[in-house]
Amino acid sequence: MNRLNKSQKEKVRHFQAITDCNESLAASILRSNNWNLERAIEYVFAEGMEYSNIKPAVLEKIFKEYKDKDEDLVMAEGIGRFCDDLGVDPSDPITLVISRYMAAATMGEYTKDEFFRGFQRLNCDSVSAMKKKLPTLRKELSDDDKFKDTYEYAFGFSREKGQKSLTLDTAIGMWKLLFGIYEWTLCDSWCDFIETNHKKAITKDTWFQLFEFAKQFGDDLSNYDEDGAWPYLIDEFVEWRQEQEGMKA
Amino acid sequence: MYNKKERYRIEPFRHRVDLEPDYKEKTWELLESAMVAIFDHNPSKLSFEELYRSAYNMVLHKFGGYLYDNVMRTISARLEVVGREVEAKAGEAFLQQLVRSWSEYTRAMQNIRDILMYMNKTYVKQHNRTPVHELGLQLWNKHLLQRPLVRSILRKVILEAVLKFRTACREGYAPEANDLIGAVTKMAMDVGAQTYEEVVEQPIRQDTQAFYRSVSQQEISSRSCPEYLEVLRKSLDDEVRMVDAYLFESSKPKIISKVEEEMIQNQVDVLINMEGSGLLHQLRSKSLGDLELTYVMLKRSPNGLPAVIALLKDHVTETGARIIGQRVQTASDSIQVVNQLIQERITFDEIVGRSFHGDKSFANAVQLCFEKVLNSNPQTPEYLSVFLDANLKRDLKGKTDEEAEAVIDRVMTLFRYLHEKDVFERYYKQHLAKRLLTSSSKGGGMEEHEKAVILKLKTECGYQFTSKLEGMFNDIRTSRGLMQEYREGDGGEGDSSVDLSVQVLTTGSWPIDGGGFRVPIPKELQDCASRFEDFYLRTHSGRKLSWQTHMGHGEVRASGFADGKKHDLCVGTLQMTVLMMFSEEEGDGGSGGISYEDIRARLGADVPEPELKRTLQSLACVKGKNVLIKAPLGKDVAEGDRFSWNAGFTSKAYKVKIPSLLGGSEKGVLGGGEAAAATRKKIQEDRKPQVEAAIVRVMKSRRVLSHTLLVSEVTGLLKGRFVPEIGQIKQRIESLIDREFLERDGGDRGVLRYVS
Repeated sequence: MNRLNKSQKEKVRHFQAITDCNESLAASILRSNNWNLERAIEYVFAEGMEYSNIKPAVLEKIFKEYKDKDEDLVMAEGIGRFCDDLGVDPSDPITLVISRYMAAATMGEYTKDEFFRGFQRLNCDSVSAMKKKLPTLRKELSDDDKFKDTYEYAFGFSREKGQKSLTLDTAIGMWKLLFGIYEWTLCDSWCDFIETNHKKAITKDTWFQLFEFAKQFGDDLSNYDEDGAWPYLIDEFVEWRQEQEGMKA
Repeated sequence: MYNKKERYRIEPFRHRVDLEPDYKEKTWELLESAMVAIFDHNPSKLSFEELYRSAYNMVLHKFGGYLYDNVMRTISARLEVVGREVEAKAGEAFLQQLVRSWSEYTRAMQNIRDILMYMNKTYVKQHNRTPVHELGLQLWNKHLLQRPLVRSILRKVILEAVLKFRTACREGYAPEANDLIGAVTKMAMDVGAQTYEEVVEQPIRQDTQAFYRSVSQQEISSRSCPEYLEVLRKSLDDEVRMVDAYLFESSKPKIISKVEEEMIQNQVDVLINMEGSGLLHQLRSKSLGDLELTYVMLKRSPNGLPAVIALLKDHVTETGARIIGQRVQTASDSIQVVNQLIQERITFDEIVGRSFHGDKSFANAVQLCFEKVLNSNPQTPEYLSVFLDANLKRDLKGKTDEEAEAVIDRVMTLFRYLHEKDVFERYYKQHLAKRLLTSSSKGGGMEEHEKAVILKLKTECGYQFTSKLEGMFNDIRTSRGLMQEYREGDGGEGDSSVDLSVQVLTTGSWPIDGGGFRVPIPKELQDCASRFEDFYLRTHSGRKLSWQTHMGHGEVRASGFADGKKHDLCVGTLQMTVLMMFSEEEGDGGSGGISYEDIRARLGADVPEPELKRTLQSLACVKGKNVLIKAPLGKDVAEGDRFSWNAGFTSKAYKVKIPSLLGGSEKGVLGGGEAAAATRKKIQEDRKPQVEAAIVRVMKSRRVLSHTLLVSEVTGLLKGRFVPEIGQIKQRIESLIDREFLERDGGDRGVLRYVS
């Protein structure tokens, strides 16, 4: 807190007055929004966070338990233990939901801020408390709107640091994982198509639009509108698929 | 009538007039006998004044209705008699009787109307009954014209007259019109337009249809298409005369339309597709007169012209496709294609202009087909450029500006159809560069012609399209001045045995790729080159010169031949460099020549071996041009070969051009499939930034725009240069989204926003 300058402190106070959350959370949210007060507030309301008054000290203790020896981060090994303690498999999509609550920037590591944020937003003061929340979180995966959040979050989360696009292998892995839950019937076909014909990284636009596409289209592509502003890759996929169907018939 | 200001009204004195008890019957009796007398043409005994007063009094005494009904009955009775008289006759007599009765009747009715004038003015008006004159017509219609027997006789007589008229027409002598028929027609019209249509027009109309149905069936099987159309044209004329003779003007379109229906509308397909004389035959044989006849006649039917257009389209497309689908291997093949296209274009212009009266929809159809045909072959832009190249290189030489302009204009009409104008630009630039650098377009007004083409392209596609081309001209002009300056200054100081000519070209304006490697120049030239460099950079500081020696060529004066003659050898830079080595060698007294390895070493590592081998081949292995001798003899150059000066070389010409041999990848102007594919790929690459620029330009001004509209606006913007594929635009949009110049609208993914 002392590291903050005068105007930043002012903003934290202001932020707390409006959002009624504790100081360190306020500071961390503000920091992640580049100290833009308005944006930070917007972010809070958009995310619909729950605020908690969980003492940073409590979280500090939990964080220490999983933290890496050398870095001030929870690394792969720590995440493994964290998952064990939650009783979930690290490849379980539920971890994506938890990471989303943490707003973790990259796969495979949690910063202290992120770790704190997750616990605070889920209003948990211990790992076992979080474990109790898991059924609720799992429901988010079957709710269309919440699933969309998770899906979109997954893009940034799985991206390699400093990269704009998602590597093909990661994208396919993620799609199989996510659309497995969403039960999109064309997922396998899509992944086949991408692997054989595209062979390039996946852009954000394609990633985001594919969900819209999955929402609207299942096996039947006859209503597909080529002028519907879909990404070119999806146009190509539809064409490819129709060709394949034609060959079968 | 009633004036409000009038306070007092003078009431007429009312008094009862007692009438005789049988007043009304008596008076009517009088009137009736008068009417009968009138009908019998016996009116002299009657006093008009008395009759008028009687009728007047009857109406005054409120017997108007009685009078009216009786009059009607009397007329009807009379007409029954007349009707029976008329229908008892037939043929000519019938007509005469009918016409005479009618004229008597109308005269009689005139008199009766006069007598009943007061009734007509008061009673009829007040009680809304039919005025006497109209009543007379109605009764005539009812009792005469609607009589079944009269109707059928009349119909027969009329149709007989019409048939006689038509037969006369068809057999070619002047028809005589039966005046009685004309009188009947007029009578029917006097009775009422409806009666006319019913009694006269309709029978003729029905007959016309039947008549021309049989005519058309007869003629169509025995005549060619133009002959049939001639028959049709004459029939139409005949019918106009028939209508003029027997009918009213209002019937003309109806009668004519029956002829058209039977003779054209129902026969369009047969006519157009007639073997050996139909439309296709006319188009193929370019018979303008027949085509015009077809056009004029078929225009009369709603289904005529669409059928003609459809066939014309097929024909143009087919002709065009045949031309453009020809195998093209050499430049002259492509010139041939363009020539044929131009020829076809002229032919169709002539057909549309002269035979089809310049009809807009025909002109459009031809244009659309040409557009389709030209763009069906991706090489068309190349053909056009090659064609222009040949013309600007030699074919236009010595032609007047007008003649040249005519040729250029014809190419431009084809150019206008191109979707891929940027492809044309690429080829044109290459051809132009070659022309400018080899200056083969000098003289014969060629420069004027070059400029004329540029001007046309500019008006067609705008300043942007030609700015680089114009830059190329400027470079050449500047270089010319520059060389003059150089020769007068620095150039004069050095070795006078070398005449250097340099063209300074702006990088980026010229389609010059480094040639793959830097062709070394003989050391005799290196001095000159660096002197020029000094000279140039002194006056143009801050610029950089890079020598494109592979584009150069030189003339080398060679001596030392056995016959003592001297020759100027025209060669490329690399050939020159190699030749110059032998100039030194000569001094050595021709000691066994120079080995391949030696030459390679002296040229340096820059020159790729295939290139070197080709060069040596061109100097030593081409019959008649072999100024070098290769040992051992043979067609191919291999390591270990030795080359020496061929003292035995002879040539009749003083100037000998030694052409360089072309490698597989650069064969011909047109390039093989590989080169074309590479060019195409390059063009696609070049288009990317253009598409992006267009997207950004649209989005910058619109800020928010739907995806569909954006695509269509971008297509519109780029239309002048090329027609972008939708897929390409989409990919560019996505790339811009990825680079965060654009974003999708949060609410509607089909809407894009410009991110500033």
